Amino acid sequence: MFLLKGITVSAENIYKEYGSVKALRGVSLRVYEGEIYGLVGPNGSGKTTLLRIIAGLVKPNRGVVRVYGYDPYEDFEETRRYIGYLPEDANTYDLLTGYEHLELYAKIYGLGEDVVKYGEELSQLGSRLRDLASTYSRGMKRRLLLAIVLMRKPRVALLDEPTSGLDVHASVNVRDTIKRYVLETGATIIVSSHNMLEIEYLCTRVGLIYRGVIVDEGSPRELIEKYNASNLEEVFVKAVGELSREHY
Amino acid sequence: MNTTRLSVFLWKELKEFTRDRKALLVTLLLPPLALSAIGLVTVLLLTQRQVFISIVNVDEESEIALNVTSRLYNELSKAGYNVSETHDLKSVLRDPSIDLIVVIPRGFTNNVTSLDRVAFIEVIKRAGISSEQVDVAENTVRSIISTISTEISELKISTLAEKAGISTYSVEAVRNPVQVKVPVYIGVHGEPAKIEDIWRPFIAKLLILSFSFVVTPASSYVIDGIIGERERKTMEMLLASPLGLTEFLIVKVLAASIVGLIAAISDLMGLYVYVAVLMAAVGGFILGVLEPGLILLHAVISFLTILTTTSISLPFISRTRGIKSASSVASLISTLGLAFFVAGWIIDFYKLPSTLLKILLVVPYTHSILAIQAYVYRDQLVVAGCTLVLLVLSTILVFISTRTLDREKVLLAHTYYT
Repeated sequence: MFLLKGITVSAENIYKEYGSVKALRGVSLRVYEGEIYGLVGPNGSGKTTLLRIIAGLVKPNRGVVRVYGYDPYEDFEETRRYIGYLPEDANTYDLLTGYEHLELYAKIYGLGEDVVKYGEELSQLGSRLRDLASTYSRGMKRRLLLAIVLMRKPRVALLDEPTSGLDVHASVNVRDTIKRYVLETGATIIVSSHNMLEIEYLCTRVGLIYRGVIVDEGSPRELIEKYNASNLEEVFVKAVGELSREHY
Repeated sequence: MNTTRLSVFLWKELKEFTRDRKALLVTLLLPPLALSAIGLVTVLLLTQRQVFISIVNVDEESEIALNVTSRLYNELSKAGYNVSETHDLKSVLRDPSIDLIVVIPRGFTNNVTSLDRVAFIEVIKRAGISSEQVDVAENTVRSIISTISTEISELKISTLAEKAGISTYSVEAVRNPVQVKVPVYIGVHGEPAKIEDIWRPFIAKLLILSFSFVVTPASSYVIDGIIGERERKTMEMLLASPLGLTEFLIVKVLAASIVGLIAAISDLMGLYVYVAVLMAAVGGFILGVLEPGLILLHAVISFLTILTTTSISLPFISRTRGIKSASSVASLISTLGLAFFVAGWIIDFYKLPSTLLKILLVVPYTHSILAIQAYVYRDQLVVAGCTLVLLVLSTILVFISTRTLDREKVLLAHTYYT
């Protein structure tokens, strides 16, 4: 077990294969305290697999992952107090109210009423929290799930496509919640998205992931300057283009 | 394993079940309502089905034959049968609507009045689907003829006795000097049996049969609990929480077993009402002989049977990709259970040769059947043994399942997102 000062999440040379499909091919990254780190890449690039590995749900075939010095897969119980994970398509239970969702997860984590109260605040669902989740819109469900993840103030929050499928208002709301949370708690966030503009707005540092490899890494400003691009989308196209020329 | 987390998650599972109106209706209300309705409809149909009887008097000239014919006609009509009278046997034989033909043959009167010959009445039954009702009609015919026969014997014996100058005699002692008394029922330990003792084996058979109703839904509950949770996208967040895989699977199996137990009790009530209605229609009754001990044992064994079924299917269900393939696996296990419980309705497992029973004990369902049957024989040791085996077996199976599965296998089940 090792602990690097300031580094909350580290991944060294991670490989993951599902049968003949190579999902990750030697991914390495380091994420620091208080950072919002963005994983950017198209569908099927390996974002979800990498987040699942960091969350301790999937075991890499090769490589080392550490969250606050612990292996999230082997030291599963220990790492639960650090990690909060919002899966990409996560859904709510139709027959439970929003409040009951908050209560359920608070109890699973062994936490009390104050955490549920904070969850209520984060969700911004007000009186609708007393209604069954089956009556919620997609945006409301996403806000509730984000509140469940963040209400216990995890030091590392892994958010897989947090605004996927949401309308503009709901997306803005979710992004604001994430930003506010980091400001309030100083936690580390790793957020995946294929929405480059969202990543540019949210993240302090970005990793461009393509076909299971992190192609390049840096702050949005650095990357834009490096590739002489006007935005991250252009950066991604140029970075991937260079990779294609190198490897194919 | 954390019991607080287990109880919190189990509470959530049961809360969802109680809020699912359709599931509640199907699980709790439908079996008693449907089976009572089926019972009533069956009784109604049974009463609607008429048995047609034709009495053919070929010995037409005789007054005795005419009297017997008219007596049969009147009493069978009074019993509710559709009776006709004719002399033409050929046409009756060719008429498919006639279920039962009673033939008073030529020479009947001569035989009935003689002292060295027996007069036979022929009973011809047409093969058909609902033969039980024709059997009942045949028994009625036999009963009427037996009464007539007794009356004729009385006449013959009293005449003979008078001629022989015998004043003290009993017709029954001459007609039927050796008889079997009405059977006396005794209990397991030789004590006179009460009504409950006579009914208990039947009730036990009913309870065993009712197990067959619970094995299939039990697997469905686990399928919905695991694959349904995966497909509804609510599983991943749970697996990433401290609840983890072991607690998740244990709660799923427990919740399925509790819901299964509720369904089992409801099914049993339905089955009980169904049989009670049928029996009431033929003048019997079974209400009032339900034994709390047997019912409690049934509840415990139902729970453990469901727990065992879900534990066996758990490793397969958890690894399958979709509901269809999981259902195929579950139906295989359910079919095995069904075969055993239907056998338990017919076969007394408790009295099988021990060598054969030892082989059958490999299948957990044998223990479920044996526990109930041993209760009838008041063999508490076997009851306790079978219950314990089911409990230990289901615990071991759940343990093995949770040890052979990991988060990745359950979450991805051969599918993945990159």
